[in-house]
Amino acid sequence: MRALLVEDDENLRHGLAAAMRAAGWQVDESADGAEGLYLAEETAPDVVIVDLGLPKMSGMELITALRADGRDLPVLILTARDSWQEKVAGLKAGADDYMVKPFHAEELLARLEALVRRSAGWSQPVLDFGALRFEPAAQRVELDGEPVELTSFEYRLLEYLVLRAGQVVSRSELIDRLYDQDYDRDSNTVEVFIGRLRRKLDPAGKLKPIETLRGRGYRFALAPVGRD
Amino acid sequence: MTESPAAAGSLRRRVLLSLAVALLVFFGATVAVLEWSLAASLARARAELLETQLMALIAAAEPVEETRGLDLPEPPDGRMLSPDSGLHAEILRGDGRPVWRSPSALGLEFSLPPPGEPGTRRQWMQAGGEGPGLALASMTIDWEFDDGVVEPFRFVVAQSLEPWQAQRRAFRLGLVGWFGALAAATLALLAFVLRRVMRPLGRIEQEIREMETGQREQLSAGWPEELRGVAANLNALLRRERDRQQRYKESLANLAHSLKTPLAAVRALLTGADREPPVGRDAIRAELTRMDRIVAWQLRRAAAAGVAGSVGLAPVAVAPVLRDLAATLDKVYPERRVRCELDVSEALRFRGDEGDLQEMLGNVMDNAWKYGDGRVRCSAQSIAPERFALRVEDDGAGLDPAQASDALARGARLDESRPGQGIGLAVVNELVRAYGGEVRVERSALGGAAVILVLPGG
Repeated sequence: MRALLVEDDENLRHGLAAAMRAAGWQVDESADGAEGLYLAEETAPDVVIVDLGLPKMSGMELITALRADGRDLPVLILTARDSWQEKVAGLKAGADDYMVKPFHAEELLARLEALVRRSAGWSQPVLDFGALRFEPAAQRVELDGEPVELTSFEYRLLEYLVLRAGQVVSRSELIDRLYDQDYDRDSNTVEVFIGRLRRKLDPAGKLKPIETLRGRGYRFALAPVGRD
Repeated sequence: MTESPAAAGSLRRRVLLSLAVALLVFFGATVAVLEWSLAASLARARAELLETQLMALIAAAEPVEETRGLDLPEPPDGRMLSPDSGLHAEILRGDGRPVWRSPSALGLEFSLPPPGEPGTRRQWMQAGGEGPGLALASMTIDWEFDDGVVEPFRFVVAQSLEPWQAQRRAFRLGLVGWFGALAAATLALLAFVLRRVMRPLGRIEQEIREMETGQREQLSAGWPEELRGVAANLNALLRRERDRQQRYKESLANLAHSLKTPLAAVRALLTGADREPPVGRDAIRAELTRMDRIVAWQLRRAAAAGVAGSVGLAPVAVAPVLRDLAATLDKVYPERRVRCELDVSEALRFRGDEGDLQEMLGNVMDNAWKYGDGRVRCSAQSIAPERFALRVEDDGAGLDPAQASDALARGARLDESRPGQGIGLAVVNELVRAYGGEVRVERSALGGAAVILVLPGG
């Protein structure tokens, strides 16, 4: 997943970005609103985190501009002012959630997870595909009720596909979203990880959760159960 | 429109100036009208007088048969005999040659219009050059001599305008004098009245000055009816300002003091960092959380004391605030799928600050969304002329009385509270009390908690 973090306090931004990267996010950082808006349009993030008090262009203006552009990606605002007036104003301007400073990085990560899940159309915290169940908040995957052990990268790869269940995701999109920019795009790591995922999620070879569409990419093929 | 600084300077000066102008216009117009009507009646009197004198002149004329002329052995008015008397007469023949002239007309030249047919009467004015001018009347008649010969004669009477003009001057002078005296008296009376009326304002000003220098705590009592409201509001404002200062001071002191304990704890933990086993980050984190909660509470409490009261605030419509908050909470807690019933009249108004209302309702509704089981009801009813009760209910587990009083008072015992226990209700309690209202927590018919806020309406 790719996130854009717009926060002018350097320590806070670095700290949050580090925590997010550790949780598997690709993070673009910006210290002012104008650059933030530019990055939001250039990098097509999955979620934007915006501080309300920003130089050059306030967070509120940034959100308004994003929404005016017709972008409906999830936006979370960070604010030092703990007042409902500001929360209501922020969410009315188009934000989807807010966090009051100071907060724990874990809480922020959980909220981001939920925002991305919701924007993929899942309102409930558990993504149910019958035999396979995902709980993004806990980074937990169950196969027939038993937890599946996944590495961090395997989980992130799977989550990206699951949140786009039924859609074709190209190999280059996966690389773009899951790796740093200086990643060697010619390597075949993605294929290797897909292979490992298939073995872990479908040891018997009956479920076939991940399809390969030659020359186009991959698709998570299971149908969701009870999705609204 | 902006007032010029001079006009804005003094109410008294403004009233007096306006009245002076009004009096000037009014009296000026009165004098003009009176003088005009006097002039008209004088002109009428003058015309009648000339006519009478003309008739008397004709009556006094006697024929001189030899010359077929006329003579006036005894003029009808003695003034015609003395020069400069201002009354003159002349008798002319039909062809304009004079047959008789009053001695008073010596050196005077009458400009005569054509005599006209016998029986023609005329009246006209003649400018006097440097003198006052003349009013003239003439009549042409056919005089029948004893021998039956008839000759036309023209009788002319002229009167100086000087006495009439003098009369007008005297009248005008008297008028202006009296009216001027009257206007001055009116203004003086008004100035006196204003002085009396304005005296309480001066007193307020004096008392405010005394408050500024710290000699006085608030305005005294016993104001005239019109100023009572101002004085009461001013006192309320001052009281609130003092309360607020007091609260800020207390908040600051509380904040500083209550932060000292966790700071000391962190320092102690860090001193022991090289100990075996090393102190965990969790302990420091717990202290940081405590500090965060202390800061949050004191900040919100200080802000809560901000604008409690009704002076100078437009009433806030309650229903839109509830709708905004419900929309916000739906966005923040989408998985809770809350069905929220709003049973609040669109006309309901809260007398206070909109931010405070949002803060109170936001905290209460946030709890309902968090702890309820998907059903929330917000309703309101008027309980006194300027007071309403707002009820926010949910279908969650609810709070028992002990939990409720703990939650309402939590801010005050922050040091004892454990993480996870919110300060939302305590903030609401502070705010509602600042507005002179009250918070009650009851059991809702929906099964969960019912939080009731009693607030000032307007």
